[in-house]
Amino acid sequence: MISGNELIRAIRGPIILITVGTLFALDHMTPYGFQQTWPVILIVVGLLTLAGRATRSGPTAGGVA
Amino acid sequence: MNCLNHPEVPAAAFCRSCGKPLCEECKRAAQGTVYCEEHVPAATASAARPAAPIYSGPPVADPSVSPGLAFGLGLIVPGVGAIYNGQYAKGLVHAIIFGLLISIISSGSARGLEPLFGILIAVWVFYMAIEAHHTAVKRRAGQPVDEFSSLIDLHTRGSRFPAGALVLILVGVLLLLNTTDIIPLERILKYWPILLIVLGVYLLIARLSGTAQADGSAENPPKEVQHDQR
Repeated sequence: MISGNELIRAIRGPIILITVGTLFALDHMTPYGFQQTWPVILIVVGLLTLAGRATRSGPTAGGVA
Repeated sequence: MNCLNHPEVPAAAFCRSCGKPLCEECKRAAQGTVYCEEHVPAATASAARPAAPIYSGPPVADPSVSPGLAFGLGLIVPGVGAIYNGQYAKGLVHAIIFGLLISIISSGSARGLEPLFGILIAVWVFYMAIEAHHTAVKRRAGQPVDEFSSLIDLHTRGSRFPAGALVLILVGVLLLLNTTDIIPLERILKYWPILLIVLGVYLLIARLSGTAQADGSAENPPKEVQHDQR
């Protein structure tokens, strides 16, 4: 059925959207402005990429060019 | 790429449901698109439902696609190059990244890194245009195009070290420490020569740790070239 890697690829967009939304919410409701928290987006994207790599089963599974 | 069931036959299409490469023999046309043997829907279902138009990269050659137009559109408006190629989600992502870069530089969040972000914006603008051009060339040639296709191969195979992800996380942490005033970037940037040392040590270990890794990295690119030429 759905593999871990497919799951990661499927949730990548929503997770990034949630992160951006949270950062803007923090910007509006707490003293942490977006100008302080924006690097979190980079970290989240990096973590998602790592997770996608970790769940890939093998060279043949996801990487057929 | 070759058919999954017939490894010696080049693929002619891809299953809309599972993405399997299929040759002329294995593909099953239904609802205006292509499925594999397992995922082809029943005939009754095709009558009830209209054809799904979502599949973004039809693996049929389309001579009406103009790479020049894709390049121009991609250069003028962020994300429109990707939208021209039918990659709507990617167009949105491109536009959002462009907007984030602009917001970072215009809100004064860069804290002395304005030149870096200025250059990044220029790089991003040209990346979007060139990427749209490449995708359009692929579409015109009838090659399958992923919704999130990019110039940098995101689906790198093999057990290569995940350098990109780690660099992204490291840069993110450093910039976060900078913007939250925990450790200013100037204090970290003082230590930049360490990068040279680390790089030297890394290369040294790679050379000394035997030929296995070197063989692997040298073997992959020619394979890809062969695939592209087929």
